Amino acid sequence: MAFMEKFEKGMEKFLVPVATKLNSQRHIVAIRDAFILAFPITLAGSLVLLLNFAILAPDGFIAKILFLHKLFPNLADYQQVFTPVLNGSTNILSMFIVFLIARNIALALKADELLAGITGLSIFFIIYPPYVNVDGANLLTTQWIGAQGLFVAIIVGIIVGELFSKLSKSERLQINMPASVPPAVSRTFKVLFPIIIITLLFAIANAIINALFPDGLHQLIYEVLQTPLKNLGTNIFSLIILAIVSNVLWIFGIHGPNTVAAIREAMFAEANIENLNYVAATGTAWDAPYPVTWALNDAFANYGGSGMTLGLLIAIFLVSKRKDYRDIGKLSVAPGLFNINEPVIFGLPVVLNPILIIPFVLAPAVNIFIGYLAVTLKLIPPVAYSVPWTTPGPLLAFFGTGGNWMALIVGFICLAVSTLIYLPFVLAANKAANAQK
Amino acid sequence: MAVHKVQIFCGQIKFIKDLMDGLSDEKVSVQIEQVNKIDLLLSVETDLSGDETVDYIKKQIKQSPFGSALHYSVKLAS
Repeated sequence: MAFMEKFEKGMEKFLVPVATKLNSQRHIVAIRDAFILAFPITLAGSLVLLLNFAILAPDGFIAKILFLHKLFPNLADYQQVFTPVLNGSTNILSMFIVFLIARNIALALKADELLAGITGLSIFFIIYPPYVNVDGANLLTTQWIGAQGLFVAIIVGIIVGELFSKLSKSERLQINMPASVPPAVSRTFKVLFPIIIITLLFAIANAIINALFPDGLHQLIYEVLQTPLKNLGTNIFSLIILAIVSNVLWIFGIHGPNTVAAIREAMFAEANIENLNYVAATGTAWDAPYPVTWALNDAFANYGGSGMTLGLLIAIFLVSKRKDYRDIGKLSVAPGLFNINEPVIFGLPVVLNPILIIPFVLAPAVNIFIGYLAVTLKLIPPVAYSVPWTTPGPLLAFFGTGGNWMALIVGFICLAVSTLIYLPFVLAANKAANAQK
Repeated sequence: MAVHKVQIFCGQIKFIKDLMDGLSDEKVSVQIEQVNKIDLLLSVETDLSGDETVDYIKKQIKQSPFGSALHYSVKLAS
């Protein structure tokens, strides 16, 4: 146990400062919070799409259960009513992100956050590939306003947020209006010069970059930054390592998902959106382009909450003779069904528990691998739909794959496997308690 | 003034203890009654209700430098 105490002290000295830095560094926080704030929009798009195919596709799982395809022979025709929702969510995600990151940084630096966000959006389109005239109509490509433009959006959001906040605090650049002028007018004039300076700077930088790289800034950043990071993220080893890091942080009392959120979003956002767009285009998650995303963790390794603690609860009910474990288990079942595990994390506790560290980290990693194998072996389609994280257990896998019944079975297998992983450690905790008595 | 007993759980209880130790402002006056491995018990003298006190303590932790890094739980002690 002396080793454990030394280990905990080491973690306290090393992990907390690093996690604190990651959770308070304003650029990382701005990126993380931008994706969190955009999440309801992307989730709504994903859920509408899921319902669209589940109810209105003749082979959708709800349509089949309710025989809708027989009751309404033209059922599929109504799908086009809801298909455009992605045009207002994931397909314009980069616009949300550039606005929100510039706004978040301005908020952190106590500048005018709304005008910073609008300036960010304005700059995003100043450096955007120009209009193309086709048959007399000016067309703007949509290629970079969705997933593929995310890194440009992040970079522009950060630079504009910083520049705007710093320039707008310079009194020499402020135009102060008389008190009689309406507040909205004086607010805009106060930051007029900073906005003009930022606009000029980006227009000049854009011209230089376009002269050096004829394919444009978006293509350059996509090839040099975004694609390598996406490729790094969308492989099984990166995914498992990220999940292990997140769960190890939990064990030591640090908010794992928060701490890795910015990295996770940067790695997986484009892949998630590409999968969703694939589903929108084809009506199925089968053969979606990115089988490995963070969605595998959500769908197969998060039942009961981080650490797959629904498996721990089942293991307690199966073998634990400890009254305290069983009592806490009973209290933890209801929130655990919706993947909330504070009662079990702090009640047993799992936090700083040398016996439960191993299964808490191991069970999710094994389950991610099981989900990955099921996808790779084509037993189930990739998890392409976003599903609220509070969706109970294996239903996450079922809905995430667009209602695939085999995914539901794989989800239950993962639950059984996690229970088996926890069993010997729950028995060990029983023995440890007896020995202490 | 009422006195509420508030329990805080956290794997990094040292940081919470350092923050709560001697916390006294216009709303609360906090005394640490007990510190264990992953939890501590506070005695909070305040005009706030029990739930408001819990929210206030949560806010203090959240606004601290490590507030967004730590995973913690705050509740009224039974």
